[in-house]
Amino acid sequence: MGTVFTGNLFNTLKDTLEKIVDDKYDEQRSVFTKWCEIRTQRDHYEDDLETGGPGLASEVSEGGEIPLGTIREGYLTRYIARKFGLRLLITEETMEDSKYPQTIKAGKRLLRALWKTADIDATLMLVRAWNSSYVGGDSQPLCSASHTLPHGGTFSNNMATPVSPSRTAVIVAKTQAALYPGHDGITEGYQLKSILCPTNQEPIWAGILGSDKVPESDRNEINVVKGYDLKVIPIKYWNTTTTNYIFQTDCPDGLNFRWKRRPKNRTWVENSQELMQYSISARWSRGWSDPRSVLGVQA
Amino acid sequence: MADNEHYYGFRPYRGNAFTGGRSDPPTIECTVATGYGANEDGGSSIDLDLNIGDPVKRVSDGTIALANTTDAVYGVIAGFGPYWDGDVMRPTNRLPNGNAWGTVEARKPTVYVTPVNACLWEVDVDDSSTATSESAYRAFVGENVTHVCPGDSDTLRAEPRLDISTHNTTESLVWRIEAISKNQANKDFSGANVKLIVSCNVSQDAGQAATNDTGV
Repeated sequence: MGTVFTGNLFNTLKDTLEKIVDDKYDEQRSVFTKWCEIRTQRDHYEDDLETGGPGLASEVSEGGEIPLGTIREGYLTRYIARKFGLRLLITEETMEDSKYPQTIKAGKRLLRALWKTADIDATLMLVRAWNSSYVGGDSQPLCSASHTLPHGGTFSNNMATPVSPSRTAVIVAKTQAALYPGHDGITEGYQLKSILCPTNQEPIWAGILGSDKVPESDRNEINVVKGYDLKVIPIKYWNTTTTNYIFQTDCPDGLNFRWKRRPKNRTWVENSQELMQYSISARWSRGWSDPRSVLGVQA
Repeated sequence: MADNEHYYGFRPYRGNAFTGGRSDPPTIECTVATGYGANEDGGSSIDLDLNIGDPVKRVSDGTIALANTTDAVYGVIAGFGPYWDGDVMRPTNRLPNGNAWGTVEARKPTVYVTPVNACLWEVDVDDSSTATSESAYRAFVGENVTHVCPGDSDTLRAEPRLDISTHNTTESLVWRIEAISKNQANKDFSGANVKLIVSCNVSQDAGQAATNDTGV
């Protein structure tokens, strides 16, 4: 980090090389777009408000008054855009003398760096899913046993007894998600749709979800979880664990990534030093508005 | 717990507001004494090359040398011009240990050094046990700390890092912790290679006291 002098790329100053070995700059293989809802943020900050009510109807006696229900506000989730950026400073001598312009490719390198940054920043929502220092609108981390309800009480989107990747884990999670309360506090239920996991778990889940029969029953029993059509999304940047994983449900307003300003490149020359300056920046926010969109397993 | 990516040495972070430093600080052209060989802190068993990101000090003959632990710092290496390899002037991204250029001025190596007070610096800490959470690191902000150059016998690099276990308000410690880096490579504060932003508390700048300010 710092100015790129000719010495930094001294092997490119003569036309002697066969190939430059480097990352591919012409493609961005984003992972977060597969598991985050991608939106555009219009304002400096955006608020998502939880509301709930009125609950269930009551039996009414003949001639009696129909009882009242009410509507309450729950928590507010605020999305404030943060700015991310990176610069490259390259001496004009380096630009003029390097025989391999593909080693510089400042614009493409910066674009790739920014997309990777966005991916890692989104993944931090999973890395910190059980960390009470990083909370959502209800002052709970993404996966918690104490998510709030507008009319009082709490619910859990954390598997109480963590189970390592297995059919049992899927069955327990499916049951738990199917019993999630709605915002009115009454059982609503959601269906599992995908599994977010570190990359080491992908082959394990493939075996669990792809097998026709259950090995423990001498392959007599059908593997019910195969029919759940769950998608496995391995996340290569989620490298702080090998055992945790998170189910996503079909509840809306879950994990989302909001572009306030998409990546923008700038180029200018610092004339007093004859330095080429390249920069890229973008603004985004990310978070979740409804924790019912996930079920966490901290195995 | 997972270790964060390691980035080598001291990296310029942004302009220092107190000195009006620029975010693209200009460098000073320095040189290294003929035959100079850097070594790891307190030892002489690893013959270290000089690399981009190494902290350096001025020595009495007007050249620069590696600033080992507790040394007052003059600057940080930003780049190199060519050096004399015995036959020709060779462009390089590091200066080999013991580079002998004799007395021929045209053969002296060029080292581009960013003065240490020209900007704030980002640097990795050297352990993952002194602090294990963002709040624990935040408690160090305002304190002083020193750096270490333990050396790596495989890469022959000095591997400068912050010796985070030395964090204290002691005025003689070389660096002041200014902030936790917002670099997204700081993923797991319980892992290794957490990045902090520092300014220099004990430098060789003209007018600076031999020991400087007590930390907060």
